[in-house]
Parts: sequence; C-alpha cells; structure tokens
Amino acid sequence: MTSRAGRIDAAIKGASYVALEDRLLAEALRLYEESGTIGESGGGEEARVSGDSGNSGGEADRIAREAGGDFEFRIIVRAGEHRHAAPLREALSQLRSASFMMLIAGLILAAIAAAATARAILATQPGEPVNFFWAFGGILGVETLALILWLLFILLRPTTLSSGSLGGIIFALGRRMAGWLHRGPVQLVAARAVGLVYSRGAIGRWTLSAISHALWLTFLGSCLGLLVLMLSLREYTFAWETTILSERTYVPLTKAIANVPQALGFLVPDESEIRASRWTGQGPPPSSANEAWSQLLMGSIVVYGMVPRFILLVICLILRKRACGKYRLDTTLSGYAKLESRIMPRSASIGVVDAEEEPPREDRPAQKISPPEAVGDRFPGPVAVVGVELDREATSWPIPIEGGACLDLGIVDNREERKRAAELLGQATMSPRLLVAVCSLITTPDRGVFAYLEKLQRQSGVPLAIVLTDGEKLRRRGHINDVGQRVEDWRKLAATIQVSDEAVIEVDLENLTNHSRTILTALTGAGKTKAAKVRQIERAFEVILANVESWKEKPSLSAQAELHHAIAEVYENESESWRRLLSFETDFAGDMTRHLHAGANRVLELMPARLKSSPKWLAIGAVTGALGCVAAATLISPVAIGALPVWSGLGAAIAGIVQAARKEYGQDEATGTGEDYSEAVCAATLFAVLLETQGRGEEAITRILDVVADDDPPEMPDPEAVSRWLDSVRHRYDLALAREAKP
Amino acid sequence: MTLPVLKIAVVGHTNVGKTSLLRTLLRDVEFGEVSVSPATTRQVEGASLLVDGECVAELYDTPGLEDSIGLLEHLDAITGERRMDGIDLIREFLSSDHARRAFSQEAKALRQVLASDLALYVIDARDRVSGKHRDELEILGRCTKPVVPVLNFVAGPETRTAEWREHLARVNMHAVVEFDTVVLDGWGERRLFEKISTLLDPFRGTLEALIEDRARQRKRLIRASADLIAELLIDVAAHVVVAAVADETSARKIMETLQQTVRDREQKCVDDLLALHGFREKDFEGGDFPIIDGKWGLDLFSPEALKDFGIRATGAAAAGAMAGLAVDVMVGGLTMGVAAATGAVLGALYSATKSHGSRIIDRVRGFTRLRAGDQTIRLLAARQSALLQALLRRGHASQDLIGRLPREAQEASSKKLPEPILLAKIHPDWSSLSGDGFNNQAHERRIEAVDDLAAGIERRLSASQAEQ
Repeated sequence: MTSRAGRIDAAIKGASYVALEDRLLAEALRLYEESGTIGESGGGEEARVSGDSGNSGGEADRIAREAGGDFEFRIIVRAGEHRHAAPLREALSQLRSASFMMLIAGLILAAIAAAATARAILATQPGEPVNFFWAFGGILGVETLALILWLLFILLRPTTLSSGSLGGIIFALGRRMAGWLHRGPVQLVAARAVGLVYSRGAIGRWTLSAISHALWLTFLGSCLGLLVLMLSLREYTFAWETTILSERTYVPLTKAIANVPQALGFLVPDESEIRASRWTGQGPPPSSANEAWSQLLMGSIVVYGMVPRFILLVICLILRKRACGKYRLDTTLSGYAKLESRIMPRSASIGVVDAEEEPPREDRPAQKISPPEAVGDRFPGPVAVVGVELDREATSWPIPIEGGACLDLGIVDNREERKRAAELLGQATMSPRLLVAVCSLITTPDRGVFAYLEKLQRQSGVPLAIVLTDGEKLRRRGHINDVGQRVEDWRKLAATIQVSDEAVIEVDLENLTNHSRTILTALTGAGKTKAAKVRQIERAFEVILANVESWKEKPSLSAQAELHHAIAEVYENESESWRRLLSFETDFAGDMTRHLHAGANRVLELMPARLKSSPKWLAIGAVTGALGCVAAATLISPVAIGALPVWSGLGAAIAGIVQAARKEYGQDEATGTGEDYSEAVCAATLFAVLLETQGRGEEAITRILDVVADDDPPEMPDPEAVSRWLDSVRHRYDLALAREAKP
Repeated sequence: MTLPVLKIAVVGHTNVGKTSLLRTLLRDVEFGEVSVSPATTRQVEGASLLVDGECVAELYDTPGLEDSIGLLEHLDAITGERRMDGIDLIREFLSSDHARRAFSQEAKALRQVLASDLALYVIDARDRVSGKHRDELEILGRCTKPVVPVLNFVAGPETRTAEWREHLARVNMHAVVEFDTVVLDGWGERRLFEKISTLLDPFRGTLEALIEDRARQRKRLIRASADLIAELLIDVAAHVVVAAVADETSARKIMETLQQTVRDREQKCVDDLLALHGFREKDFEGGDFPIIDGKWGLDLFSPEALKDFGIRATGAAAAGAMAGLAVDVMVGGLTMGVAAATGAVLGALYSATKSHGSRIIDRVRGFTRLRAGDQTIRLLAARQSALLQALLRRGHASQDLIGRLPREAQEASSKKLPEPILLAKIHPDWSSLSGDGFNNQAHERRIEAVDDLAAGIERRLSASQAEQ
C-alpha cells in the first residue's frame, strides 16, 4: 500500500515538478552517452569532465533506482545526479545565455530596422506631404504578410515551422555562437539536445513563433516610438494620392481603417477631411487634418500591428509553457531503453530469506581408505554390484564383471528397490569383497544417493567403489566440458562418505574399451588381465604370511610343501598354463626324483644369471622347483602331503639337486642354511611370482625376477620381518611390471 | 487498486535449473549462482518481479530436494500407524529436529513452499521419471499448495516431454508448462503466467499486469534495438570522405580510415545492442558465431563476410582490400547518388542537386568522394538483424555462448536498399561520422529517416518471428 502511494506521489512529482531544463539535461546526457567512443574529440576534455565532482554512472543509477517513480522520472533523476551533469548544465546555460544574447541582438536589430523604416517613410522632399497609405503599407505591409504566412503555416503545416522562420534563424545563430565560443563534446551535445527539444514538436513551434512575434512587436513598437518622436518634433503633412483610383475607393477604405482606432479613442479624419486631403502632386498639400491623420497612423500601428502581435506573443508563450509542461522524454529511444534494466529493474532482490545455517558437510578430511586395488583380494567373496538410478531400458544390466563371482543387487530407483538391494547384500552367504555402485553421469549426484550408499556400506562393512557410466550420453547432451566437472562432483560427494577418489572411476559401460575394461577389472579385482593378477599375488602373499605366522620353528620340507600347495591353489584357475610353463608333471609315476630334478632345473633356467651366481638363491630356486612340482601334483589329486611316500628321500633328493646345480653354475662352497624363515619364505615368494608372471614370455619372466629378487634376502626371524620383506618384494614387483609395461 | 502480491516458490531436484528459471524470469543474469554442479543453491533467496517499480510477485529460489526418497521414508516413519493429513505431517516434520539436520535443505524448500501461494516444480525434461522424482512430487503433493510443473531444457534433443506429461497427469498435475530457460521465445513466459493464473484466480489481475508489462517491455526493446540499427545504417550510408584523386597513397590511407570508421561504428552498435539487452560482452565469444570477444570475427570488408550472409558480392566489391567501398566518381554527371535521387524521391531532388553541386566542385578541385558501398550497408543490416534475433531468443540463464546464427537470418537479398538509406546517401550531413556533427542528429529529416528505417526493421523482424 505504502509503496504504491509513494509511487503515485513520486509520479505526480515527476510529472509536474520536473522543469524542462531537467529534461533537457537528460536529453543532453543521453546524446553524450550515445556519442560514446564515436566522435569524441580530445581525451583531455573527457578527462576534465570526468574529473568534476559528481556521481559516477553507477552511483547515479542507484540514486535513480531508489528515487522511484516512473521511468522518465528516474531518467531525469539519474541525469541530475550523473557526474556529467554539472558540465552539461554549464554548457546548457552557456547555450541559453548565447541564445538570449542573440535574441537581444535580434531585438536591437529589429529596433534599428524599425527606426530606419520610420525615417525612410517620413523622409519626404520639402514641400511634399507624407503619403498616408504609403506609410501605412510600409510599416504594416511586410509585417502583415509575415503574419499571414505564419498563420498559414501554423494552421496548415505546423510541423514544418522550425527552420526558415525569424525565430529559427535567431535560434540557429544562438547555437552557432555558443559553438564558436565554447568548443567541446559537452557543448556539442548540449547544442544537439537543445536542437532536438526546441526545434521539434510543440515546444519548438511555440518558442520560435514567440521569438518571431517578439521581434515584430519590437519592430512595431520602435517604429511607433520614433513616429511619435518625429511627429512631435516636426511638422508633417499627410495626404493621399491616386492615379487610377478615385475618392470612391479611398474614402471608404480610410473609414474602414479608421473604425477600430476611432473606437479606441484615436482621433481620425472625418469624410470631409479625407476628401480634402487628396493631393494631386502640385501645389501646397492640404494641411487641414494632419493631427487626425497622424493619430490614425499611430492608431493603426497599435491596433493592426502591435495588438495582434502582442496577443499572439502572449498566446504563444502560454502555449509554449503548456508544451514545456507536457513535454516528455521519448523513453523508447535506445539511449534510454538501455538504462531501463539499471534504473527501473524488472526485478529486485529480496535477498536470502532462509540462510544456510551450517556447512552442509563437516570438513573433516576425507579419511583415505585403502583403494580397492589393495583391499580387493583380502576378501574372498564376490563383487556386489548395484545400479543406482540407472535407466533400465538404456543399460545392459548387470554390468560385465569379468572373472570372479558377482552378486547382483539390481538397479535401485525407489525405496522398495533400495530396501531389497540392502537385504540382498545383508543376506549374502559369502561377504562380498567389494560393493560396486554403478551410477550414471547424466544424473547429478545428490545427497540422497550418497545417504543410501553410505547406509549400504555401513550395514555391510564392504568397501565401496563407484563406477560412473554414460559419459558419452552426457557429452551428447552438449556438455562436452562438463563431464570432467560432473565426475569431480561425484568424487566430491563420495569424499563425504569416505570413498577416496581412486575408488570413483569413470567407465563407459556401453562402449567398453580394452583400457576401460582394465580399469574396471583392476577395481573389482577379478578377471584374467595383468591388473587382475596383481590381486592374486597379493593373495599369495597373504597366504605366505598366514603360514609363516603358524610356524613355530624353521619349517620342515613338508610344511613348505603345504605352503606351496596353498599358493598353487590361489592360481588354480590357471594351473594348466603355469604347469606347462614350469614343466611340472601332474603325477608322480615313475622315478620321482627325476620329476623333482626336472622341476628344479626348470625354475633355475628361468632365474636370471645374477641369482644363479648366488648360492643362496640357487638353493631356493631348486627347492621352489621341487616343491612346486609336488604342489602341482597334489593339486590334481588331493592327498595329504604329509602322507606322501616321497618324503623319505626328498631331503636327500633336494640336497642332491642343489649340489648338482651348484656344480653346474660353478659354485663349490656350501653355505649353511640359517635358522630363520628366510629360505622358506623366499622359495614360496619365488613360486608365487613365477605363477603370477606366467603367460608372459620367458625373457620377460627372467627380467621381472631380476628386479624382484634382492641379492641377499635379509634374515627373517619373525612374521614382522617377513611382512616387511614381502612389502619390499611387492614394491619391486610393481616396479618390474611398470618397466615391462613401457614399450 | 493494489494488486495482491503473488508468492512463488521454485522447487525441484538438484541441478535442474531452478536458479536459471529465476534468472530468466527476473531478466537478471546476476541472480544467484548457476553451475553444472549440484547443490549450488543452498539457501532460500528471493527476488521480486516489478511492474513500474512496484512489486507484483515474489519468487523464491530454494535448495534442491536432494534426498526425497529418504525424506518420504522419514515422513512415513513419522506417520506410523496414525492417520494424518499431508500438511499436518509436513508441519510436524518441519518442527522436528530432523528438519534441521539430515534434511535441512529439503526442509528449507518445503518451508518456503508452505509460505508461498504456489510452487513451480522445475524438471529437467531430459531426465527419466525416476523414483526420486515420484517421491518429490508425492511430498510436494502433501504441501497443499498448487504446483505447476515446468519442463526445462525442452529445446534440446533427447527430451522426454511425453513421458513426463504422462506421469504428471497420473499425479493430477495437468497445468504443465514447457519453458526453456536458455532459449526464450517470448511466449514461454507468457504461457507460464497464464497457467499460473488458471490455478490462482485471486491473482489473475496481478498476472495480467505482469504479462502486459512484459509484452510492452519486449516491444520497447525491439523498437529501441531497431532504432540502434537504423542509426548505424543511416550514419554509414550518409558518411562520405573526400580524397584527392591525384595522390594514391593518401587516397588509400583515407580509404583505410573510412573502413576503420565504419568498423568502429558497427562495433558501437554491437556494444549498444548487448547493453540494451542486458548481456555482458563475455556472453559472446567462441563458437563459429562471427562474434568473438564482443567483436565480429569476420572483418566487415572481407569478401567472406559477404558470403557468410549470402550477399552476392559483385566484381569490384569482392576484389579485396577495397571491397565494400564505393567510389563516387563523376561519370557523365550521373553518380549513384544522383541516380538514386532521381529514382527515389522527388522531394529529395533539391538536396540531391545541392550535394551534386558540391561534388562538381570537389571534382574540379581534383577530389574523389568515398563512401561505404551498398554491399557493406546490406551486410551491416544483415549482421545486426541477425544479432538482434539471436539476442531476442536468448534467455538470461544461458551459459552457452551465442551460437551459430539461424539460417533464415542469413539471407540478405541484393534487393533495392530501403528508401531512408537512399536518402541518407545523398545527405552527407546526416552522418554523425563526418563533420562537426553540430546539426546532424537534430536534423528533422534525418530523424524521420531513422524512424522510417527503424519501423521497417521492426516490421521485418516481427515478420520473421511470426514465421518461426
């Protein structure tokens, strides 16, 4: 209510209390701003203008915005507050005074012209009378003609009455003069603005008319004054002459002219005096009614010249005032229209009404859990897969998880499906080793999804990995650059539920490439690719560590064989392949020692020269080969290793193999074997690495072993030492793989 | 009479363009914060729509309903075995502790819905109707406020408008509006307000005032834009530079100056158009649209620019460096200007002979008059009109840069130039580019010519818009 009342208030204020000068200023400012970069002469001028005190454009906009009222009123307020207002006002007032001076000059000129006219009319040859009608026409004729023309224009074509008229000339001269006196862009636009306002429309029409009337009024007044002066000081005789006309014309004509002046109290000649005043060009002029004639002349000037001009001047001034009051800026002009958004916004900010109370996420650093690469194989269970808000029609479900078992929790899109998936996960007979949530990059990650995933993770205790698919579809939507951002958004939200960046991967499941397949498999820890094998060696290491922990003393050959068997089990799926590589026989038919020999030699063959020159490694290699042979055999036909008939001669057999190997590789000194787990662990690790690298070329295997095996394995008196060493082996193995991966 | 102020809450899932919708409705590129990331808006921010400075509607931007499934589950848990009206349930939830913790964003949005007269539910029409959306609608349905679903991103490919309409009909929402916040065709907004007014009769007057005001504003905008273009064309068409024929280097220099003047003038028009439509210069860059950094990529005087707009470049115009400039050399006393004068308007004859006269004097003195050629003027007209059309169709939420021009905007015929331009060509004093500019712009006839031309541009524009 109040705002509306205020607005109306302001609007009323806007309409009636804004002077034309303010509108003129707004117009000048518009032109100034429009001239902008074009035709700006002299940067110095501009600098001077901007240096002036006053508000910057932005500040003026603000004041105008707050002023309220209609658009025009705001424009005017803005112009008044603008930093260019002062110089423009000055220029406008310079222009006004220049125009005023020009008007004064014009009036003086008119007065002089009138004096000249009066003198010329009264300047007669001595003895000759003044021809009344000649004088009458000389003073009033041109003026009346001009008046008729003006009337015609104002009635018939009012819009064209600008240039060409007396007023127009004065006006143009005034602007010219201002231009000559003060040059500069500000003066230029001021002149243009005045031209636009005063030479167009009603204001221009009545202003220029008023100037014309004033000039003529001055002319007539001055004429009259001089006539009075001359008639007072000198004696003139008035007469009339004719060649072709007669008294019959002149008497009624004079009477007609005399009618109005007479009514106003001027002395006029009566009929007989008129007749008597005829002069034929000879003889003395009749001097009967000179006073009456002169009064008629003066009366005519007043009545036919000055009074109408005066009335018209007053009318024009009134009309001009009205036009000024009615004048409104043309707010559709582009110069104004572009201000609209700034000073008359279509909208206003209410501001924040319900602020964010607390940071939505606690900024605790996302505690990095080990990436699934490391954890994957610790758990033997399947990979649980859940599709989060995926498009059933557009997705082939479940996603292709290679190798390993997969627990399909389905696509979850609503509460029921969410519940069912959670139940499936909880009821899984074998706890999954990893929970993979497949999400679409098309959907924006939201707290809802993550709240659910966190719940799933919390309830099941299974590490979570997020696979983001549909990157291609997002790209197709035209957000080529947004895919990276979107992945980043998912990671950011994932971090809030402690899922590290490495566990959030982008794989386009619809267009799987070899590379993306590798990434995927690496994540899920399954399949047959190299990346997958990394998981298996981890498991093998786990097995080693677990065995070492169960040992109380240096393991017997039989215990070592158990360990090899357990490692072989990890690679059971690929047993065909590694058995072929290591030439292990699957049964112990025939001479068992020969089999063991062959196995040991095969392993020694694969070892790099550096290791072969180390007696310790030589022994380890031989043991590995022999026990690997046993493990391979027992894998096929499960028998209790401890009950194997071979053990009686096994120790000796292995000792023999080592001896033979030493001889073969030019070593003779026999080193005593320590009392720790070192040798057994090394043998088992060597076995695991060999099984892990199977599938590669033999040279490659040798190269990898060269990197993995350290010259002199440290003493390993306890499981901690074993674990440390295994870590170093793992590190070197990764290094070796990285080297292999290089072209 | 005071119009009732309509309060609208804009709700929806995260990142569907709620803030964008507000920006477009408010015509304010600066409102809020928009990004491709989710949950950019985390608070309720309001803005009012003004008609003549008076607030007629308040719009509130709310945080996204991110966890609607969880929230609905929570609401159902609150209900338990009780029989409860939806609104009571929502109120109970809002006063509960959960509304401040886990569901604080959702609570903010719902609180705002309750405080408003109507909710606009913004939908990314490219999304599938999924469980979370169903639950969002379910929750909104319990707020007992009218909801108008607004389908955003309908202009692109892969929209699922039909699927959405079907689902919305199922939940008894029939007043669906398609409103793309990026592409504004001038009608979408109107339809939106009309839909709202069918649902909220007490606010009919308010909405009508709004619709009217927006229509007026658009009209004014078009008019002002047409004015700018007309000014440009008149300025360039009337601009004449006098060069000495004898001295070739100085002639070339003058030509270059002339070209630069015209380029600058065009740039000014581009800047003004951008400012007028409330866009920032940085909104225009990249892509294969010829505007880069707020500047036209293709030079005005390159033949390719002509080709780009389908203007047949004839002979000399396509020849190279001098392209786009016409040389008014006296040929048997009939120059282009005079020919145009005789052919065009009888009333212009006087001025024509006047300028003809000074041309003869120049010729006698050994000077040649240089001006921008017809093709250049056509190209200017075509380019600016195309830009204007692009601007008129652009919502203020658009984050993309202005793309390729619509093909139809590119056809620029080699038809006769419009009369005001022909007139301008014989009135060198009309150009603000030449002379001291003292009387130029105040010239009555020039003002008329600009008005005429602007009206013509406006007509063509509305005709081509009607076609679309």
